[in-house]
Amino acid sequence: MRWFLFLLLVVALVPAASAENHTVIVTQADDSSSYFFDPEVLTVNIGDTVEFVWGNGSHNVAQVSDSESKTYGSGFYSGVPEVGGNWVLPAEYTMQDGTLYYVCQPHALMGMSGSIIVGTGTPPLPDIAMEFGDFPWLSYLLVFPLIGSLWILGFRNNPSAPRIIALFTTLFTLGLSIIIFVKAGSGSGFRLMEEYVWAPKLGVSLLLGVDGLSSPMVLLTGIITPLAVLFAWHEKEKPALFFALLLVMQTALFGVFITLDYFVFYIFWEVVLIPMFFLIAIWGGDNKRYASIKFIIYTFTASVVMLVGFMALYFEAGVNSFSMIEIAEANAGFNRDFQIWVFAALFIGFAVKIPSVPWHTWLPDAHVEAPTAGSILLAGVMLKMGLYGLMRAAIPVLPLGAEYFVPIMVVLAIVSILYGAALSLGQEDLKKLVAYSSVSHMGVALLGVATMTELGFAGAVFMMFAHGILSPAMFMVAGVMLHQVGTRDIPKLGGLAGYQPTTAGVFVVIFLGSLGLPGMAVFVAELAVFIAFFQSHGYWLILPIFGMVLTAGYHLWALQRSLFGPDSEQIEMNQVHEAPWYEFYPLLVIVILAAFFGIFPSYLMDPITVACYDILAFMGEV
Amino acid sequence: MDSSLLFLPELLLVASIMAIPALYIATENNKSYSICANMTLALSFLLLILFWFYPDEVSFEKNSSVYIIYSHFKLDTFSQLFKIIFVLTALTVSVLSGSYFEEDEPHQAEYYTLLLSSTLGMMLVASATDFLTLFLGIEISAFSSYAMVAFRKQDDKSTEAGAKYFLIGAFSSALTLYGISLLYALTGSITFEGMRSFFTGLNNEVVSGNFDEVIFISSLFILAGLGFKIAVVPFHAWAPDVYQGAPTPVTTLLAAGSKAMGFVALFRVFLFTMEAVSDEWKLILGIIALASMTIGNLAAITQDDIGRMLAYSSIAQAGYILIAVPALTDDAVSGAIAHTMVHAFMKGGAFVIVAGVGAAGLGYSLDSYKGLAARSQLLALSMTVCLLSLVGIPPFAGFISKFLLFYGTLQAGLSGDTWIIALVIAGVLNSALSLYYYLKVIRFMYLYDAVGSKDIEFSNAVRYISFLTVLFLAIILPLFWQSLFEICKEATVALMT
Repeated sequence: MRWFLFLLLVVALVPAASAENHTVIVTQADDSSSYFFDPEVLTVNIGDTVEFVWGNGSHNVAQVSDSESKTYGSGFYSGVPEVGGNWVLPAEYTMQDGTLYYVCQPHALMGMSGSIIVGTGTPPLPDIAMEFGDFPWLSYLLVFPLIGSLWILGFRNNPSAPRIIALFTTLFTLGLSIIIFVKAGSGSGFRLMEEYVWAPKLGVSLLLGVDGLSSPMVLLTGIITPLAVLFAWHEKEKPALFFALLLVMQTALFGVFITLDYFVFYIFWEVVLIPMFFLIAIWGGDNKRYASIKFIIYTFTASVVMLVGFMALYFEAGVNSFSMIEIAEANAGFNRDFQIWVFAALFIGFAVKIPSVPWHTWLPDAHVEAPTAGSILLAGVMLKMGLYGLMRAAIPVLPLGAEYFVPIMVVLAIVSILYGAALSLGQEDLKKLVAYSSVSHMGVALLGVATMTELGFAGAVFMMFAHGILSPAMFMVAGVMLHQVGTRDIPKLGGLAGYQPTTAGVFVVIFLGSLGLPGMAVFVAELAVFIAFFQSHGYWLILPIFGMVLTAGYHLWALQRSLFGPDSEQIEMNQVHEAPWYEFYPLLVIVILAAFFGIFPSYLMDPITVACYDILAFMGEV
Repeated sequence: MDSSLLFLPELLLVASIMAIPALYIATENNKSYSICANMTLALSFLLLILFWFYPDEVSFEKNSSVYIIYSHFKLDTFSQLFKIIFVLTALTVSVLSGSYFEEDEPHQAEYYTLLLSSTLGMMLVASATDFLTLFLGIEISAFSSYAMVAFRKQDDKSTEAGAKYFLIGAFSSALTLYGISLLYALTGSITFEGMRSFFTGLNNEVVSGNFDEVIFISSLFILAGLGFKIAVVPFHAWAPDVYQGAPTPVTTLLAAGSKAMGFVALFRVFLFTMEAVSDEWKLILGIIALASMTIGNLAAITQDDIGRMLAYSSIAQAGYILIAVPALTDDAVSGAIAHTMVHAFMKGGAFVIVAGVGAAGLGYSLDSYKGLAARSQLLALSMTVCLLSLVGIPPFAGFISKFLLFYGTLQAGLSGDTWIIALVIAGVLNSALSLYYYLKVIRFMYLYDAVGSKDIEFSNAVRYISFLTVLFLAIILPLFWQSLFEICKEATVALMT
């Protein structure tokens, strides 16, 4: 009886333990008229083994990336056994669903290729951890600035109430965004999710959530806005409207960074434009009318093209939902041509915001004319929307399209870096110099994205954060020059260090930080991007590195001409003061932050890296 | 219950049309006509809403969703929806006129009578089930508005606009009629239903014969006539002159009401009656849509009269709406219906401000909008909302409806005729182009200083209407756009089956 049970157990276990063995013949016709694998398409179950057996001729088996590709990149490779020899496919390749394509390298062009379909044939997408919060932190983030702006409009006739309310509101949202950043943590997937149904028939809902990609951006927005408010402390013209618009803008920016629904994302994306338009148009410099119109038409045109792309994604996915997560999960069904076209549409929308050469021309105009607080938000947060959108809304959903665009992105990024830096060298207006330096810095971030590696992505996001705090600081420097010295023209400046030593010291630190001094945040980002770029594109790295030389050049040259050297004849030196408290402390805060994240990058890098890994997992790259 | 109750909204108008001349004989008080018209329209509006929500009580069965009276008059979701729009527009115009015209302006009794009869004509069009009723409705509405455009006899521009409108209108009516007669000769039926079944039969080869040319030519003629009503290129030339010359409340009626009526007729004719032979007219409509939006937007850029600018913008908007017609899918058509309705609100709202600014003595050029924000925050805000909504910038209602329109059309393009995708892309790019001239007005209002005194009183009617417009376009519609979408979907189903 005992023996019988044992036997039964053995009989039961054997089929479970055995894996099927498949054979593929690698051969050619006797008269060399055709070269083939037999069978050409093999379907196996997970865990099966595949053995290749060599017939006539000398062949090998080399994995390629897709059915069109002819060249071996990475993956399995058999070597060239003798006729009658064999080679077994390593077991790791058949352990999960997917399709493996391979060719015989010498005869790939004669059509000698085959494929193995493992299981269902499509690699399983990683499960996205979605954790719904028990407290609506994210909607508070959207609602509080709006309440603040209504509150301000209630006190619009009081001269100082608006700025106090604005400061209070923004400090409060800063607290919220720190909480959110901490709560988001560095785990994989989305945290603190909330969903409010809006139009279920069309699949539109206000779907909120943060991951390691968006939480640094939320934190950045939270940090930058109170600084902008503080810097505009003495705004004299229509202060109520000014601060109310700043707060509306903050809501829209938060909205862009925390929505996971294409439709709502687009709405926030466009709502950002309206307050910015008025900020430039009402409080701008001499040429504000031209700059504001150019700004809004440029960006609006690009984003409507993007909207068409979103709609196409929605229809092609066929999941009756605008949710980015659901559409991304359906991305296996998108064919390559579709992906390329849609990625092109989205890329136009995002590239104008980045801005990448040749769509950068609105930026210097908008920056130069915008009031300093507007420039701070524009450079600090708005420019990040482009790359954020690219990494959130385009790349994970359209991996093949993104791969097709890699060379274009690399070229655009390198041109942006070099051209932006070269133009910065030639500028006389300090604000314009900073504007072009933004083009150059965002080029570095775009380069990181174009590497399509984890390190590159992470470097790009880190760059977005680092540039997001340092570039506002440089605009503040330009603002301080204008307020305390009376001009931003570099040739007119000179010898200021003797008259405002403390302020000048902070200026120097900020400029050095921006040029990528080790120990400051920008350095970490640049290093990560360049390492990743070297790994993916090799010695082409020399070009962006040369851009860094230019970057160091224009930063140091500007410092030297404006702060040091002989006293300028063209300004009244006795009129030059130190920066007042409301201009000085924002700068100091930024210096501290930049140093903190430069020395302890891991606080940011941890969540960012995990999010970047998630993106790559979605693209099927890892 | 007696179904003639369903006529009440129309019957009320007819009664009032007869009552106002009687009032004119009885009293010389100008205010009484406008009060009479306002009351009638408000009551009619309430009744329509009532019938919409409680159809069973008045035997308008919502489940069957169609109710036909004497086989010439049809009440369905589509017709009722647009009737609400027409009556609401007319009510706005009537209230606006009360403050726009001077107390002692002559001929006010005629004016309000004509306003009501024009509305009646539009309502007839919405309910028509055959070409005769349709044509009758169009003509009632058109003849009333010819006279209204030329209402200020002493004003050269008004008379010129009236004459122009009348001549071109009469000509295009004749063309429509000719097209209708061709179709009648071909199909032997005057009802939409009869013609539809003939064309369907032709398509399924139940009816034999090749009538492509006749169908093509007659659809061309009908299109010429209806194209005049909705002002699309190349039948648009009257619009800028008439919009500029007519008294602004009349322009509001033309831009919001009359245009929507044209679309109602166009939808009934092309989407229902001639759907089966869509191959004959699809491409023409596509080309007209493309030309209309491009030329409309380009021409609008250089205008310096607000009426003319809005007229060209209206031409462009008609182009957007038309792209949904060749798409022929439910989603696209409901997008078109949504945009037609929202367009009535946006354009109507904008012209109310124009009327208010004009009546306050500031004039009708773009320059008169300089510094409007300093004069009245509310009016400036309302104008901004209307204009941004016309561009289609989120989160305003215009974005929602335009999104639905492009959404449905793009879907049709991706799954069927690929050339329709080009129309969508052209529409999207045109939206961006149009931003320029709308922004010009917004810049004038906020960024420039007012010329002349700051203390200008705007009439209460204008202020209330603009407040309601802002409320509707910026808050209510964007929040409840799912309902808008569903209503339009229902209307589409009613229209296309």
